[in-house]
Parts: sequence; C-alpha cells; structure tokens
Amino acid sequence: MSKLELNVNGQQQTVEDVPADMPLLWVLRDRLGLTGTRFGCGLAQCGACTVHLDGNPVRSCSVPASAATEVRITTIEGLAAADGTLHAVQQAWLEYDVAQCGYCQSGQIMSATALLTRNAKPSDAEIDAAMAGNICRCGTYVRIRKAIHAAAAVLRARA
Amino acid sequence: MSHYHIQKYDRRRFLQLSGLAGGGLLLGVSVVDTETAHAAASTFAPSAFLQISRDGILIYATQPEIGQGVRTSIPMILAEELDAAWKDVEVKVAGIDAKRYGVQTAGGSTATPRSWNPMRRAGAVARAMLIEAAARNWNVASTDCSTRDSEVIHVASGRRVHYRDLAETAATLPVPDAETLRLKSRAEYRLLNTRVRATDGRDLVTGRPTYASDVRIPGMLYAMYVKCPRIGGKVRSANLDDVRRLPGVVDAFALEGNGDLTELKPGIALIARDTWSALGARRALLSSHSMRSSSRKTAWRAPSRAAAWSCGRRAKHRNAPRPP
Repeated sequence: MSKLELNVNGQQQTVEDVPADMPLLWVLRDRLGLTGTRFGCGLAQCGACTVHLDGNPVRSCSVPASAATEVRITTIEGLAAADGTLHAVQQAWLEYDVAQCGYCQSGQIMSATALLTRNAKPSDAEIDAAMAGNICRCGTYVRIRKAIHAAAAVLRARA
Repeated sequence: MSHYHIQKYDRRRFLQLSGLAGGGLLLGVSVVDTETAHAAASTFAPSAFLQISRDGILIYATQPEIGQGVRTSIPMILAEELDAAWKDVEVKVAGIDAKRYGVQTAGGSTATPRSWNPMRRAGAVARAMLIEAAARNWNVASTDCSTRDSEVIHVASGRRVHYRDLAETAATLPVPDAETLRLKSRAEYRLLNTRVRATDGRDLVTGRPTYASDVRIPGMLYAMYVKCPRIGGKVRSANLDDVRRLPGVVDAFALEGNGDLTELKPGIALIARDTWSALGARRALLSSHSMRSSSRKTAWRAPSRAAAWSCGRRAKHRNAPRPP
C-alpha cells in the first residue's frame, strides 16, 4: 500500500492506500471516480481502458498506477477544453454517430486522438494499424475510420 | 416465448393527468403484457413520460438502451405525433419502475413494437389538448387550429403559440379518448424516418457515467460473487480467513442462495475497497483449485486452502464444468 501523487487531466491528485500492483484503471475508476475509462478485458487486449500518459496511448488496465506518477495522465474526461468545447475527434464522433452501445468508444477516441498528434493525415491502412488494439463488438470500425479522417481534416485546417 | 401486447384502456386508465409544480402538462401511460393485464387493470399506476412546462418539452426514455438506439428512437415516436420540433425535445432516462413504466426490457426486438402505439397515442392526446388550450385562449374552434414544430397555429389568422406557453392551460383540460383521435399517416411523418443524432452521443464521447458499472455512491464498496460452479451445489468450505486478510479486502462470506437458481445461487461473496482488491480476493479464493474433477462424487477436488463445493448427485456427470 502506498500513497500516490498523480497528475490527472491537469490536476494533481493524491491517492492513499494504493496496492503496489493496482492498475491505473482502478485508481481512475474506483478511487478518483473517473468512470469514463472502461474495463473491458483486464488483459490489454481490447483497448476499452485506453488513456494517455504524456500523450501516448496506453492500456490503463495493465499499467500499475505506481508507474504513472511522473507523467501527465489524460482520460476521456480531460479531452474536451475546460469550457466544454469538444476535441475535434469527439466532435467528429458525434457528426458521424460513431457510437452504437458506446462502451468501447472512450478507448477508441483516446487512441484516435493520440494517432492524430503523431500523424496529421493518416491513410486508411495507418488508421487501421493504429486502431487495431481497440475492439468494438458493435462493429463501428467503418464509422470510426470516417470520423478520424474528418477530425484529421479539421485539425489540419486549424494548423 | 412471451409476446407482449398493448392493453386497451379506457381514457381514464390510458392517460392520467397530474399537476406539475409550477404548472404544466404531465401525461402518463401504462403498457402491460397480457398475462398481467387483469391485475394491472385494478392496480393501475401511470407512468410519467411526457412533461411540457414553461421549461420545455421533456420526454422520458423508459426502455433500456443497449446500443439499439431506443433512447432516441422511442421518444421520437411520441415527438412525431405530438408534432414537436425535435430540437425542442429534451430526452431524459427514466429510472427502473415497473409500476410507473410497465415492462422495461431489451430483448427479442420487443421494445420498439411494444412502445409504438402507446407513444403515438400519448403524443396525439397531448397534441389535442394543446390545440384545445390554444383554441380556448384565442376563443376559436379547435378544428380551425393545426400544429407544426411545437406550435399551435390558428390557420385562418396565422396566429401561433408555442407548446410551452400552453402547458398550464392544457393541464386543466379533460383528457380526450385516444381512440377518437386520428393518428398521423405515414405520409405525414416529418421526424420519423429522418436521421437525428443519438440523444446520448455527447455523454458517450465525453465519458459521462453511462453504464451500470459507472454508478458511484459515496463510501460504496465493491463486491464480486463467485457462484458454485455446479447447479444445486453449495459451498462446503473455503479459505475465507486467508482471503479476508488480503489488502483491500473488507469481508468474504458464503451465501446459501435464496433457493431460486435463476436468482441467487449459493456461492461466496467477496467485498473489497475497490475492484482490483475484489479481483485479487477472487484469484486467491480459486488459485489452489484443482482444474479437473477426478472424483465422481465431488465436483471439485480442492486443497484445504481453496473453496470446496459440495455438489450432490449432479456431480456424477462426467463432463464436469471447469471452475470459473
């Protein structure tokens, strides 16, 4: 059990009594109440729990929280601007009605935003490769791809 | 298979009007399945799924949303017949309350057909009352009035009034018999069969609490339940003391079940401060389990530290299920 200092969505958080092996996912969901990051498999196989550590997408179910003390953690709740303005990816998700049941979509969006910071104009193949770790049982992959292209175009126009 | 039908009600049973705080129109409807229709008729409790007030038009989504879109589509059915502009409609998720809302299930593609006629009738009744309210205010015949985009229109003069400004008057009017009202024909639909965005879209892309597992109550604990892997089996022994000593674990105890195998089966409840600790307790409980049953009399040959299950005659089956 240890006390952790975490930087989550720009805020410094102190979490007490964290088991050494406790994944970041459960600190976010059960200790900090940030339930937008979802539990899917617990094995880093489905991508539902994807968050950013210093902008890089990681599966929070398989990263010990104790390993995330020196980085900026961003979750789906921290993606929109403070005034509520959605990230271009979130906006595109709405415009293309990507979500069906929605359970995996927090992770999909986190992977997509990370992709677009590395690659301003991903091809279909690059999108498929970057999103391969995010599984959607509803099968929304075609809309996900369209929305990523649309968000990429919006972000390029802003740049 | 259970087939759901819409029970016909007389107008008092079909719709019930109640006052809203601050004045407004609130309409309830009940949908029951035929098996309980008789009982329901004598103990009828209306649901509240449409509210019109000065604040606007609020439709409650009463059917469970599991990705099929009913949080959006079923309120649309009511809004269509109400002749409300979709942009004026706020959709709220209703709680689980069978007495108020009738059957609330997702399965077998029943939610939409079950809701179709009740939603249409409720929309039509509300629309008729709003027309009547406007006609009284204007001192004209209701038959000279029409509706469009959340407004009642006096056709001859072109006068218009928004539903939200009629709610107070409408709430004082008698409820018309739904059977006497003409429902829209398919050709008259303006909202249905058009594309709208999911009402919960923004919640989904911003990570708002949406699913049962997202519920958080101050001070809540997290539990996992390990059921006896055999039907009819019970807990014989378990290493509960070891499990209770694990960090983050609050308690561990065996339950007999309530006797109904479709409800609570015998098993072991693990209570912890967080999901991770509960998962750890589950691992510890099952870790020293034998993965194969070699005995015909006992389902699980388990070392003393692990949970052991006593499973009676059913354990004689050769193909023992694997432990959870």
